[in-house]
Amino acid sequence: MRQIRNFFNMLNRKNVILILGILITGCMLLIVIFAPHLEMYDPTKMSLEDKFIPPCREHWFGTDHMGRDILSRVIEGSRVSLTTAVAVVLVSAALGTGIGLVSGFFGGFMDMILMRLVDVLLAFPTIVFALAISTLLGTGQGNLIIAICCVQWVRYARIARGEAILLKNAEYIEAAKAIGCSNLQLLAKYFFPNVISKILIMVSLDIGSIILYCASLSFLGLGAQPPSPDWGVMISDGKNYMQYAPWMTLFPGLAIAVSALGFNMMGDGIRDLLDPRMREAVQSE
Amino acid sequence: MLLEVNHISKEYRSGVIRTRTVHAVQDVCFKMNEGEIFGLIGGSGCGKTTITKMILGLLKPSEGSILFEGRDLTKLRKKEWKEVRRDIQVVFQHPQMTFNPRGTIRFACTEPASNYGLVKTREERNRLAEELMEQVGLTGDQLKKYPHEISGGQAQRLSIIRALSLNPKLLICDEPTSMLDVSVQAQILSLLKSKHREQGLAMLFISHDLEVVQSFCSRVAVMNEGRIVESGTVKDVFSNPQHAYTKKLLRSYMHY
Repeated sequence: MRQIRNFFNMLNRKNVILILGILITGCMLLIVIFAPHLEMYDPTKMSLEDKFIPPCREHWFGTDHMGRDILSRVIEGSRVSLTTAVAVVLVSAALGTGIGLVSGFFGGFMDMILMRLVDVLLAFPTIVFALAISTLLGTGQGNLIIAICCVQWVRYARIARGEAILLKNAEYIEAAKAIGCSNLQLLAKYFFPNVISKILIMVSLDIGSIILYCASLSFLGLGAQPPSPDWGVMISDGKNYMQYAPWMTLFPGLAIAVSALGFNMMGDGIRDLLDPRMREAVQSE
Repeated sequence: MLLEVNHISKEYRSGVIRTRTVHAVQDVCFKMNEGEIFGLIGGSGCGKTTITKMILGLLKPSEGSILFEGRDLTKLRKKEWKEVRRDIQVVFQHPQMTFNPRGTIRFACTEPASNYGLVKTREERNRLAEELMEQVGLTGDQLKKYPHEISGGQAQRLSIIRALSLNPKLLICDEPTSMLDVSVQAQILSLLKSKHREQGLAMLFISHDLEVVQSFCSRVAVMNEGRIVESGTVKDVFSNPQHAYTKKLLRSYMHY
C-alpha cells in the first residue's frame, strides 16, 4: 500500500514525462519483440488489385502502391528502424567512452591529436557528415550503422574525456594509485563506473535523434533497401503519392515521431532523476 | 636509515612568454629511522602535501633524490614502483574521499590486498574483509554500504586498516585527524599508536595540530613556505624554538 502511495507521490510534473517516456518505449519494445504475431498480413506480399486502399476495417492504416498492408509494414519496420538506432547508439557510446577515457586519462600528445579530430568532426552537422560517409561506403543497413557511428562517437568521447580529467585529480584516484592499482584497474574500476551514468543519460537522449538520422538516410536511399519495410524507406515510397494516398507517408512518419518522442522523454526524465540538483527540485515540488 | 629525503625541490611553471615560477617545495632534507614517528608541521599551503606526493611517486620532484631503504625512488621504473608501494602506504586527510564512491566498503578494504595477490578467491576476500572490520570495531553488515554512508571516523579507521593490510614499513599520515571531531581523533590516534607498537611501523605524521604532534612524535620538522626552517627532537623544538616562524607557531598554539 505504501509503495503504491510512494509511486503516486513520485508522479509529479517532472516524473510524468519519465513515466510517459517509459510507457511509450516499453510499448515499442513489445511491438519489436512480438512483431510477427501482431501483423495481420505479410508485410512484403504484394497484391496489385488491393493498392491504395484508404484506412478501413481490413487495413487499419491502408495499403500502399503495391497493395501491401501499411500497419503490418510499420510494425515490421519497427524492427529494422529501432534495432538500427539502438545498435548505432551502443556501438558509438562504447567506442566514444573508451577513446575519451583513455585520452583524458593519459593526456599528452595522443590526447591532443584525438581532441583535434573530435573538434573537426563536431564542426560538421552530423547528418551531412554521415551522408558523405555513407555515400562513400555504399548503400545498406550495415554501412548506414557504420556511417552514423563514425560521426556519433565524438559526442561520447567529449563527455568521457571531460569526466576523466575531472576525476584524475580526485583524492581517491591518488589513494588508489598509492595502494598499487595499475592503470588498467584504475580505468576499469574507478573511471568507467564514475562516467557511465553520464553516458547512459546521453544514450537515452540520443536514441531519439538517431532514429531520425537513420530514417532520413534511408529516405534518401542510403540505408535499408526497398522491399525491406524501414520507416524512412516507406516515407520515401509514399512521397510520390502524397496527394491521393497521404496515409502512405502519414503512418510511418507518426511511428518515427512517437518513438523519437518516447525515447527523448525517457532520456529527459532519467537526466532529471540522476542530476542531484534536479532531484531536489523534483522532490520539493 | 629507512627514508632519506635529500635536497628535493618542486617548482611549477606557468605562462609561456613571461614565465612565473612557484616554488612549492625548496631544498628539503630530512631522515627517518625504522620504527620512528616523524612529525612534519607547518601552516596550510607550506608544501607538506607536496612532499608526501613526491615520496609516494605521485609527483616527480624537480630536483633532489628520495632514498627508501637505499633505493632512489625518483629513478624507479614502473614495475619497481609497484613493489616499493607495498612498503609505503598513506592515509589521506579526507576519509570519505579516499574511497571509490561507486564501490562498496567490502571492495574498498580488500583492494590493496587483492592488488598484490595476497587474497585470490572470493572467500579469501570476504574473510579478510571481515577480519579487517573486526580489527577496527565495525560490524560485518557495514561491508555492503558505500563510502558516503559511513561516518568520517569509521572511514578513516578503515583507510588506516586497509593501508596496514599490506604490512608496510612506512605509513604516511597526511593530516589524518584534521577533519574529525575530538573524540574520534583520539580513537584514530590510539589505533595508530597501537599499530606502531605492535608492528614497529614508521610514520611520517603530517599535521598542523601541534598538540597531537607533541604527544605523538619523537622528532619533528617545521616547514614554512616550502622550506624546513627547523628540525630536531620534539622536546627541543617545543621547549626551545630557534626560528622566528616556529616561535610564532608555538605562541599561537599556547594562546589557543
